Amino acid sequence: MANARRRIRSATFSGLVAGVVAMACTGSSAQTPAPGSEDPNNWPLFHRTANGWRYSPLDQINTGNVKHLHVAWVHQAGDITHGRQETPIVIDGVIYSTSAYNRVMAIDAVTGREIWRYQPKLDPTVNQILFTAYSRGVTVAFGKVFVATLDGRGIALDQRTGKEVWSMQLTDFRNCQGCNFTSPPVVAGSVLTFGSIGGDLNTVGKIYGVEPETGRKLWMFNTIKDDPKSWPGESGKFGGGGAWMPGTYDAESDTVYYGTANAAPDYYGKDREGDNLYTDSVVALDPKTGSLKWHRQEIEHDVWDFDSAYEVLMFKRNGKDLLVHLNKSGFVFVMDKKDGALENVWPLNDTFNFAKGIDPKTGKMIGRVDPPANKASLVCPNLQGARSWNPGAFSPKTGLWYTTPMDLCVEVTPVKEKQDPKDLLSPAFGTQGYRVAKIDGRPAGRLDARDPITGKLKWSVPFDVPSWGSVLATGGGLVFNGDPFGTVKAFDAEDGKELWSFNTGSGLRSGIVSYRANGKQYILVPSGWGSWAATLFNDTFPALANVNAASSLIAFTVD
Amino acid sequence: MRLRLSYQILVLAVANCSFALAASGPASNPEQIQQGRTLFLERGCSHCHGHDGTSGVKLAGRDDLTPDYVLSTIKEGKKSGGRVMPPWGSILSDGEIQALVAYLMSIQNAQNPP
Repeated sequence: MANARRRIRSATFSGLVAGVVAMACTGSSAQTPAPGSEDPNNWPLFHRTANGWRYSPLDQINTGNVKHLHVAWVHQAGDITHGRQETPIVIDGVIYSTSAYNRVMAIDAVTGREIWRYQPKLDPTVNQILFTAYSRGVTVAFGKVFVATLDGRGIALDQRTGKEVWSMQLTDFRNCQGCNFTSPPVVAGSVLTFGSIGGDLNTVGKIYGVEPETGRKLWMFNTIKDDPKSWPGESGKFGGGGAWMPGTYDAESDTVYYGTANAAPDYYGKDREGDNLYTDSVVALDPKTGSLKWHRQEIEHDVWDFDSAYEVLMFKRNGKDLLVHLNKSGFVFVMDKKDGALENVWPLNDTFNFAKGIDPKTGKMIGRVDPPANKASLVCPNLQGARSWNPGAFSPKTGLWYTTPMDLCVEVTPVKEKQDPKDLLSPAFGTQGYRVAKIDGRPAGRLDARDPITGKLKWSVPFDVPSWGSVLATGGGLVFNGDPFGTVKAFDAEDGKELWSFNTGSGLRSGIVSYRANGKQYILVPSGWGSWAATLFNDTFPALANVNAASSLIAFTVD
Repeated sequence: MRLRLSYQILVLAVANCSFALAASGPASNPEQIQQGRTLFLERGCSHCHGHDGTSGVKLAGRDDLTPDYVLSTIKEGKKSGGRVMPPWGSILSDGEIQALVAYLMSIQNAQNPP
């Protein structure tokens, strides 16, 4: 354990350098040495590198030997509430991991033994809110481990010891229907940014800029624009929004990009007849001040719960600096990173019915079909979108983006509901229940390999039940992904052939990562079924009801 | 003496009857069931359990639910495996919880819930 403590060091410098050098590399994404290959032994950021690729250049585990991949160790967190939804951070042989109720653990990456553990004392109200128990990770930088909590705080821990350094209340947790954080903060230069929940609540979601040394709140960006044309009457008071997945920081332009959540109430838009900015948008913020550099709203006046909260990827293609961003509608927006100018828009699925389409040149919706109030109607894609929040991965070796769409619709009945931010258990869904429906003749889920800029499909593996797990791409030519029943698989990145699988015993709703420690490469799989996917889809896929929850970290390696 | 004993037996019988009503739920009160149905939809229970209790975590058409179990689960919440149902005891009144119990008991083994 003493050796492990000595290995702990700040990730800030290495993580930021990785991001800057990655962006300095030029050329097409499939031909040149891969950007994002820096700091190859570690997984220091949520998506490993600042460009959002979830790519590990390690190739000790590869298509030739992955069939020999075996368990090295297992760590159990104990509390299985809502399973394990994190993407762990790994720096210099230490894993920084989080499990239910914001427990944080530092774990030896070679042995799986715990180095230290921290459990915050959370506001007991966390047991009465909608988005509770789970977190998608922690952030390690400046010699600290930063936690964004279920009761709306930012907490800093000493990286070596796990002792609390500061704790700062950021959201008005008890008065905003439990608006909190379920994802880790982002290191944006010298500022830490936190994106709050908002979209399904009667609240106003915000993004916060915080001083890492002290937790002092530096600025707050309101994702609900103060504009009566955008939000008529009182509708802006309960506009939803927020940014509940980690943003992407570009050191080159000193910009932090966030995808914002949907407008509230989700399916009932009659009282907010305006464009509802800045919900369903990519916003580009100055991290020092929180000022808005530009925005692109992907879904205007959203009445289908089509958040823009998902990952923002960065690419250089033909001399342009591009962002690639999937909206929950299934449409992927390709934009210029400096001003959001549109390069392309392409659909992940062709089974949508909320509109005739989105113009790839203007980004405008064509022929929108709003679900009628007080009547049941079918909306495609479903309430979790053409893909859920589980990020995809890009491999610079193949030039392909690997992601797990689902082809499902949902029956909703939009209704007017009361809006009271103090009523913790009556969120702003704006519908009388849900019924998820399969689409005839279509696999419910897939793993697709596509060009991220054009959407051109290279290969696709169908699934009977969608995957809700994140994807990992590696320099060994492998793509890793897991299913809700617990099977983690390795696919050949070139053609999708399944090369290896392992039953972890509980479903995958997490980020698989890879690292090297003591000269050995590991694949680290957080396993434990949970999240809203574990509740809302049981009648569509009855076998999901029998998946046991867990909260495990499983490390695999080859000899 | 016999009258007093009879009276005692009668009181006991009435008390047992009342206890039996509380345990089995006020299934015969259509107004209370309708109130429970309205609450089920208005309070968002339908988000996890479907608008008629037949989707998500299913409540309709079951054989295992009892009024006491339903009541305590609504009041105190429940963790089952990794899933969490929040406690409603401090948010809903006793009358509202009883109405929900009445509604939920009325849709057990029902083909066409109200």
